[in-house]
Amino acid sequence: MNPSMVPSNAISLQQLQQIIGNSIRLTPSLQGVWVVAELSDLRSSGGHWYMELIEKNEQGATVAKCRANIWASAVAPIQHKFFAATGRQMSTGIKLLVRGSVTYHQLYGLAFNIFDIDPSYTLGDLERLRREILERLQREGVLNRNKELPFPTVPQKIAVISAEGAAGYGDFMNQLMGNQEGFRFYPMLFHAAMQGERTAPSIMHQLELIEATIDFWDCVVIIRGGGSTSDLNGFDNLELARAVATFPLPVVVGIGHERDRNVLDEIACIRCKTPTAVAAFLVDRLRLSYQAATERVEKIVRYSADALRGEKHRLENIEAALPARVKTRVMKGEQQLTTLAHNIERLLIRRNTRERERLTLLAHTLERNAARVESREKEHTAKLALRLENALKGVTRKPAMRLENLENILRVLSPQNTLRRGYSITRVNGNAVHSVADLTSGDTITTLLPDGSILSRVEGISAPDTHIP
Amino acid sequence: MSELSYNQAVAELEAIVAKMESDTCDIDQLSNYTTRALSLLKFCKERLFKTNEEVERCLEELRNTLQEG
Repeated sequence: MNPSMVPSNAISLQQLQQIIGNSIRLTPSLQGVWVVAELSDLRSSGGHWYMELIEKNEQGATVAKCRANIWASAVAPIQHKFFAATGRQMSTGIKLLVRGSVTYHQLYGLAFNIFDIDPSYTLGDLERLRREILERLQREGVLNRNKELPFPTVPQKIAVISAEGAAGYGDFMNQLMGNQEGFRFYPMLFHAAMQGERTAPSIMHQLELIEATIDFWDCVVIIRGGGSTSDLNGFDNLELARAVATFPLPVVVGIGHERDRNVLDEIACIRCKTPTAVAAFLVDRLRLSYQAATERVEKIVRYSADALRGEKHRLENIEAALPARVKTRVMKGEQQLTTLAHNIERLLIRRNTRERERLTLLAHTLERNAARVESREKEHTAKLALRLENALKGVTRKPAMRLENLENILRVLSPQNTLRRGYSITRVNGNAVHSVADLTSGDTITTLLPDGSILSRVEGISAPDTHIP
Repeated sequence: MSELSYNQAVAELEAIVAKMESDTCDIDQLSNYTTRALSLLKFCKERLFKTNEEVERCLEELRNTLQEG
């Protein structure tokens, strides 16, 4: 088209954009307006922040989109205000209520320039998100499952999910391992991203590793790795929340923010504000267990000492009471003995009298009996004596006659009479010679005669036929 | 006492306390009670304060296994 044919009312692009710019600038409803939107594609350049604000429908489809920016001078106050209230950094996915003005640049077009923020909207929105997650877990029946696990009395073997080298992890380890009491712990780090979009999958992966060695561990600790710059984004996640709620070991979390809570705070067995507080909780737990043992032992030792002291007192009391008691006892004993002696005496006297009577009676009886026996015996003896006398008389008369006869026989047979009748007795060596065999020639023999004896020597021995009959 | 858990040790101490608090506490048992109590306390102390070499070994093994994995 020929330039001369350009209609007289045509304007240049720059003029158009100036009109747009002016009309936007001059429209009060586009200046200082509060807008609700979701943050997306946040990036920083030259101190300024650039982002997309989007709106999604219930199905999650983006139905509106607008570029937005925060100039460097506004970044710090807005960021601070937001973090102070929510404990989070502004990042993709977060819903915001921001105040700004629509601007128009002839090169870059329409944009929303943000100069203020109301974090309470975000808080409310996060709260809604958390509530949704919690309600879901409640419906699934797992909401309180981890909370209902009994927490170990002596948690020493601790699986720690945190970011290696992060300040929070360092604080936790210093507090735990440097505890004043000197309690022994066995922690092991399971490294995970603790902020940003990788937070949930990274923590869930470590939970799976821990579950594979579950018998070894007493509990799981999840602590936020970073310091003041870290944020809580990524913790409010349904899958992560479900994994923690259904984890078979008690979980202690230290990922909260002083002014905010995340969904894990609501479902973990134990919730502490900071990593340091988690360590303090574990140390406290052991301190309580130790106290439970020492208090009982102290009680036992004290009871023992008391019981022994009591027993000692009892014995001392017995000892103190002893002399009086013994005296009483001895006196009673003496009385008993005296009474007994009296009784015995009386008994003896009675017994004695009776015995004496019995004996006298016996003596009389004996005496009487003896007299009778004596007279009977006397008669018997007299008879016996008479019989003996008679018997003796008879005995002595008969042997006397027999002796006279024997005397006569002996007198006839005496060697004297024999010698007188002409016989002699020859002796050799004092023995009577009965045979010539008793003699040998040369023997000296003695021949006895009635009126004397002859001594002679044997000259010879004659034959038996010369033997005198 | 290797099979004893910390909780069991404390429970046994509690049982001894209960026995001593009861009227049937036998004076002849006193030294048994205190001896047992002190040995239980020793077990508890060791559990809390002394390094368990076996646990350390397990931990090291786990660390190595997980690093390899």
